[in-house]
Amino acid sequence: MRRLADLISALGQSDADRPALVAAYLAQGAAAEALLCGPAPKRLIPPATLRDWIAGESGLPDWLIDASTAATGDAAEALALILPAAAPPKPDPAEPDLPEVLADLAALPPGPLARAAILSMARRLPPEARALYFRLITGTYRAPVSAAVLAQARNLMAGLPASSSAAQHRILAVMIYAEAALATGARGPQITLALRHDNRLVPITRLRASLPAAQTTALMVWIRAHATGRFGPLRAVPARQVFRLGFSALTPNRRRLSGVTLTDPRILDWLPDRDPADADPLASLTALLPNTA
Amino acid sequence: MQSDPVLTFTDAGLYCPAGDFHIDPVRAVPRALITHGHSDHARRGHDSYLCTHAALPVIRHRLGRVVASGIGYGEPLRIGGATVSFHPAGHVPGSAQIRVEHKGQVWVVSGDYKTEADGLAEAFDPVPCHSFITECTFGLPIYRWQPQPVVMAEIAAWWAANAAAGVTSILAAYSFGKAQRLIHGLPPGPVLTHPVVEDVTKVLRDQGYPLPPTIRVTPQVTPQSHPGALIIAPPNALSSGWADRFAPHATAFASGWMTLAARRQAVGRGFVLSDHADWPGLNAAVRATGAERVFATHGSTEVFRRWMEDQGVRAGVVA
Repeated sequence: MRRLADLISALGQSDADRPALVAAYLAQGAAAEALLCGPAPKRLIPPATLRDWIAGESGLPDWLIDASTAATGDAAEALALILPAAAPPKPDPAEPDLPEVLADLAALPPGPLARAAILSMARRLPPEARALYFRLITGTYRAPVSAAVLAQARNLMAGLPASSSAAQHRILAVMIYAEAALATGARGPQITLALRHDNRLVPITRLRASLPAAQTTALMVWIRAHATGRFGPLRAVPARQVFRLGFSALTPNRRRLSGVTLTDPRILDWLPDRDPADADPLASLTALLPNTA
Repeated sequence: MQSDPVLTFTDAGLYCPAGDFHIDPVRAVPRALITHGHSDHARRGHDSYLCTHAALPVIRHRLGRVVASGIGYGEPLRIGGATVSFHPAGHVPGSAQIRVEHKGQVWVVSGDYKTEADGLAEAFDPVPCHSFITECTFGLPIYRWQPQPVVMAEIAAWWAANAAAGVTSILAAYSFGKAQRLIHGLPPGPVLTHPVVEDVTKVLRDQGYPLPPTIRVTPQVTPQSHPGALIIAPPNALSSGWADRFAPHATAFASGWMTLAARRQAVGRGFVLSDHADWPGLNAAVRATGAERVFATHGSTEVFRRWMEDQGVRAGVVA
């Protein structure tokens, strides 16, 4: 919990190397990555309720809590600092880590028992982690980084440059959909690539097939000649054309059939002579995911 | 019934009509009683200065040739119709609260103070009084200090981690008071000092304050000559680029203001270590004086006044 608070604080500095900070955080054992990037967790209690609880615990009048909030500029921070600490500080207080805090929240009892559980947890946390905890439970938490920064951090962890321009993790994928016409000035058609999975083809990404001019023309000819179905500008095509695909990072994504999102995908080669059976299995891609399960 | 106030609030600062002197005046006055050597309390230009013996060397070091005399802690001195004495404030070495008595009425001016003994400054000693003029720099319940050993251990761990990584640690701290408190309170190790810090440290060391040896930063002092060192420097040295040649380095700031996330964020790493009383300390100090009237100065004055009134204590703001 304190590590996440420290990370958020460090990320807030103007000269922060955000991918490096996130990579260093993840390298210490990624806990609750969903909190780094993505939507805020649902709120468990309204901020006003928390404030009432802390006022009750501290015995301080509302006007003094207002003055404290004005001084910190942040209600969660003020409440975290105001809450009296747990009994005398122990020499080595057992400070709850993030997984324990989240597990505790997931098992939160209803009603008045929640108040006791939340305040008890809050008292065990140092103030900076406590403010974070209050934001989590009141729905005012904001994930500190974007998906792009998270992807860059993963590159760093894989020993790659943060913004890797060189293609990495190459795989062979097969085309299953393609644009029938090129937009003016486009360098190639939008195509959808798939990997093998249980005798099916599972789409993994849609991207522009940027190829040398002669290959672009040849590909467009092949697409028009072999289209089997049309979906607006899109054509279904037989799964025969194999492409070598590069990308800079991989993130888990449950909303995709493939379960992953590729960052910065790009076509490295068109391999018209390869057998579609040479396309990689989806498992070879998911195996590249960092161990976050 | 209302007797004349022992102290009045003037444009030049706190003034005692019975003794015709000012305390920590902000304008030049004939006779100034000074609580401690920080520049917002010990200003230039007064005709004469009175402070504790312990505070005098630093005040002379900072102000140069001034007409100044020292007095021992607890030693009563008659000035005109008033009797004054100086009492430990625990803020920095030599710092004092000033007790002023006139016609049986006792007022105490806290100066800056902290209630936790830091092992270096003379420990805060509450003085019973009718009226207590208290600083309240940190007069909000968000300010609660950890015990000094906890904070020193945090700083020591940061220093050790930097040293292990081959990074020089640079700690920004006020050159008089906080710097020496750190030098005294941190575990042994190579401590380098900015010249401004070293000068004050030498003055205090020569007085007999228990300060271990430190190394003045000169052009010959480099990270290679002192691997794993901690450098203590005033905050403005960090912003001036003075520390650039010690790269790679990690910087941190030790101050009560580091309580606030926004302040920590502005400086990188912050350690909450203050030479002022925290909220519990302020409240304890007021209670310990038994004062029936409290005046707040420096800091969250209006908040503290109102809080005192809430507690049933007559309170005002020094204005």
